[in-house]
Amino acid sequence: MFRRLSPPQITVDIVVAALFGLIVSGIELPMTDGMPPVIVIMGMTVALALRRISPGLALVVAWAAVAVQLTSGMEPVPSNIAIIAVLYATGCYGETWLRWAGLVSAIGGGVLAATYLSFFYSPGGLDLRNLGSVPGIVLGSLIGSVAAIFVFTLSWTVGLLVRTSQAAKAESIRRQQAQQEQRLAQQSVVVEQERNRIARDMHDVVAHSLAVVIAQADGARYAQKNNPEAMDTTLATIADTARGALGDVRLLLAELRHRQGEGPQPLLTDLDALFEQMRSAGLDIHVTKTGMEQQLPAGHQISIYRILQEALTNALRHGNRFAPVDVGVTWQESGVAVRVDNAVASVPFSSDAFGHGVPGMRERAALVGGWLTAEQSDNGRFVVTAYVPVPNTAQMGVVR
Amino acid sequence: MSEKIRVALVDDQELFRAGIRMLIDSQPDFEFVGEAGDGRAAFALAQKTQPDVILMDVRMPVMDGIQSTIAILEAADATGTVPPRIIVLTTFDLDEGAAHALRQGASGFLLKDTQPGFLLAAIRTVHAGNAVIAPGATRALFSHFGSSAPTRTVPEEFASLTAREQGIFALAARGMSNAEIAAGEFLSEATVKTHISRVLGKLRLRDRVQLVIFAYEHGLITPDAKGA
Repeated sequence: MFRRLSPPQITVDIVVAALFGLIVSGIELPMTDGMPPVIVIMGMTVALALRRISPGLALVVAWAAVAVQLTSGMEPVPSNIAIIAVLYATGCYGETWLRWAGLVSAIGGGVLAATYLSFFYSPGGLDLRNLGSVPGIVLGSLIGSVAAIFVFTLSWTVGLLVRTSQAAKAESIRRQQAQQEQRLAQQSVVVEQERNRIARDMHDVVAHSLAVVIAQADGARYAQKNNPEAMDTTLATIADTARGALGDVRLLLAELRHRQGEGPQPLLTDLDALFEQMRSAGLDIHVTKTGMEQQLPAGHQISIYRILQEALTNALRHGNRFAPVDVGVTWQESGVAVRVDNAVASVPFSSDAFGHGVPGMRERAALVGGWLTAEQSDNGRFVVTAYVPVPNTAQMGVVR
Repeated sequence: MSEKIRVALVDDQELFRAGIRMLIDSQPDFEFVGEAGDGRAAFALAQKTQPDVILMDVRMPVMDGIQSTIAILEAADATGTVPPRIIVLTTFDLDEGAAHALRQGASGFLLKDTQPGFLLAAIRTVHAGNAVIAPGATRALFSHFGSSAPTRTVPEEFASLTAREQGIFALAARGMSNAEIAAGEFLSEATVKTHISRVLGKLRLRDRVQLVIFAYEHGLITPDAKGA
């Protein structure tokens, strides 16, 4: 029933209505006497004041004032201008039913006003004995109707148009806000995934290796009495395990430092740096790029980068470091396929290659609408294949 | 106890297994019956070798330690054979998987970096069933991962315990061993053992670590209660 207005809006409406009341009173009251003109001015003034806070109430008050005006046989008065403002308000601020009521009022009021005026200006009213004057009345009524209806519906229509454009503006602001929120949410998801990945890597590298070192050292200490030869192989195992773990820790730290220094998430342009980094860690990487590179959203680029990073890290950790690793990046019109093909270590260091990295990579691919497979072939190769599609509604917000 | 304790080992890291195996092989009262690299292989191993105690890693490929624990205990119950005692090995002291495995019937959990002497003692303790290994750590685990508030109503079975049994229950729930309870209550260890097994039977619990969990989850003991 009542709309929520700010205190300044309410103040403006009251002041404007009060001024309107004073001005129309100054014009009308000196020329008339009796109560009805005063009531009409008050009604119109109140309707004007109410039009924004309660357009429905304003319409009712305006109709009541018009009823007083018509029944007391008054001429149209300057205060009737308020009707235009009220009709505008019903179109602009009203709910569905009120907008319809406003339209009906605009048309009905126009017809009523024109008919009333036709009678008002034919002195003595309609003379039934002289029906020859009727066509003139009808014509006057018709022209007056059209003019009044035009003015009234125009103000109502303008109100409706203003309303529509305001709604569109509000909608666009809301959409922008939603997009902003979505971006922030995505970003925090990516950060969270990164944190989990680092934690997982830490667990894989540090905890597993240290558990082996502890178990081997304790075992050898206890086995010493019965099996002194075990000491030699155990110490070699401990040294190898620790050496491998140190290499992995170095890689992890390099990744962390890389990420920290760079700030934003890595994109496709960072792939060459990734390959270099992996080469310096001891992988012999052969890269084959085919097809036309396409524009991809940042999220897709991050996914491709992380999938390749994870696959290469796995190759380094679990694969045969001395055999070359083939990396293929194939661009098609609909998307990009990446493939990492490495030889499996003759004695796998750990059998959890399937347990940890692959679900994360698969998840990354799925998040951007793609897929990923990872399988060990019979000829001792481990192949990760991922496909990331170019989105249809391409909104390329990549700035780098 | 004259017979050797038959021990099996399940972990996905071969080198870790090799270390623990040396440890177990060094003990004259232990017999190492086999090792497995995942939960499914562990199930097959348990069926084939019927070990007394299984050391079980939680996180493994193919089938994790929790599922494997459930499968092994269910199979033993179904065939009416004596189920093996399962000790869960974890990397972290607050491992949700360990809590899960204990609820599913594992007899205790140990960190992978436990001192070797403690690990060997834990195997003997769990096999004998006369004490809970690492009761303090077990309670800490359940105060972290247990049902948020131990407000479950005490089941009817608990009322069927005699006053004596309830007293012993409270002491065992605090992690005291049979010997400690016997000394404190001026009873023989054999009597305490009889009471404990009667309590476990009435409450339909598999193992005394389940007694600790039962007490904790039904609010019969607070997590910060001092272990003996």
